[in-house]
Amino acid sequence: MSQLLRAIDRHVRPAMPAERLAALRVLVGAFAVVYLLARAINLTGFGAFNPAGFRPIGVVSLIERPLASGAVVFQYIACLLSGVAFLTGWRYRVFGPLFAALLLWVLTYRNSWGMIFHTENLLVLHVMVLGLSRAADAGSLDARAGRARPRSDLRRYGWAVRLMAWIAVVAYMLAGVAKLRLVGAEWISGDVLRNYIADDNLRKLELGDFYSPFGAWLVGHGWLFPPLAAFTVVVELLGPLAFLGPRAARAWALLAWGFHVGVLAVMMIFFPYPLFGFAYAPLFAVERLPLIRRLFPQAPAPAP
Amino acid sequence: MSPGDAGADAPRGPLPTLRVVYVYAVWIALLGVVVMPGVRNQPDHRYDSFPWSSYPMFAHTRKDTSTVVHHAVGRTAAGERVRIPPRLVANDEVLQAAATIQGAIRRGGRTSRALCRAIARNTAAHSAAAFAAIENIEIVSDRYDSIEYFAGDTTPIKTRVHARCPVTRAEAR
Repeated sequence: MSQLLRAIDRHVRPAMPAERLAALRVLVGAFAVVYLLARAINLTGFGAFNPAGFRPIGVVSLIERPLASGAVVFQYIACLLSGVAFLTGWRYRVFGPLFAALLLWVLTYRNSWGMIFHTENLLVLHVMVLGLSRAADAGSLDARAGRARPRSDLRRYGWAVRLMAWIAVVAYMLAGVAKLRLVGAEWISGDVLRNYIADDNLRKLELGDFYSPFGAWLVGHGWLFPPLAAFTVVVELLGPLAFLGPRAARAWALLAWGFHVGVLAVMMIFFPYPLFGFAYAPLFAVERLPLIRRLFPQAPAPAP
Repeated sequence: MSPGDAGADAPRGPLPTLRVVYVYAVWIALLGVVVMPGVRNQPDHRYDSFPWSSYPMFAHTRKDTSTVVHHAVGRTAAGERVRIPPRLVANDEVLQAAATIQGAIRRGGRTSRALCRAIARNTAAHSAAAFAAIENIEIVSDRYDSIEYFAGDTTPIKTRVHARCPVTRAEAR
């Protein structure tokens, strides 16, 4: 029993360098800041929305009515500025958790208008893990100012990296489980996927959104969809195999990434976080990336 | 509390250190809220929120090929349809604009008419030539056969008009 507990503990709290967690902070933080900037209009422009359409979910359920326009702009700016502090690792003990909380609030507010954007779930969850960890002990303004430095106990860092990887894997698994639980084997063997792709493209075309001409063409070939559906469910359910080793991690990440490329090709649904590889970054030694090496040129000697 | 500031690096005695308790608490809390929507026993197993979800968006039974599109359309004097862009409904996000229309339809005629009037005002204020010929706005639900649609038959099987309102322009007053 104690051997099992020790094995679990080694899995939950593996030894990983401070630079890996810091590299994830930089990568995910940079994505989050760019995302906030790119979505500025969508995250602040609720003035034209009918207040009756406000459907608070998650943490935003704390309020019953939409916020005033000024408050929406203020929360956005606060989130963006704390995101820059998070990215650079400045006063991280304050801004790490604060950015996680603000990003959760701002994106949940955006999702509280009748449409949930599942493209943002993993980003928020990863920022939450990073915000609650020692992700600024290396490669940060805090480290440069002497407020933080890498510790010799590498298990202080590995737990957050491993948790981020598990959250990504579980999110995919839940999507696979939902398909089998709600529809069953017919999701694979029947026309469900084909009908979804046709429905989604038709809707986009009629609503004036970008649609996929490739997907529109593909729905005319029904025989293609059972193998595509099987591939989808297998990729979603087999995520935990990524923890078998680096090769398995590479293989699963590649398959999951390929799945998102397929979704983009046939449905024009753009999941930037996985498509740019950020969702799978916790499975890899990202501190070895050339960009990160340039950012963290000389790590100081670890403190005991 | 800052993560893992207290206690020794690893468990040394029978009791875990505060740092280890912190790590496991964060693991259980965050992984728990991620897993919970997938295992909770909702009547229809479709829990969706943010950022926790059971990811039910592509997990509904879709045995038939019918697709209903709720949207706002413009009508010219000749009865031709003109597509209304999402920014005249809510903002630039197509799906969010569509959700706004769907929500208004669900809440009934009064809300649909109010949304219709708002879109008509936005259309009247818009200077684009493409909208100049629009005389009325309609909030409609169109039913299509999605497979037939991409085989070339793009006519709705059924259309239901929920609200209709005129576009009143300043020069016409």
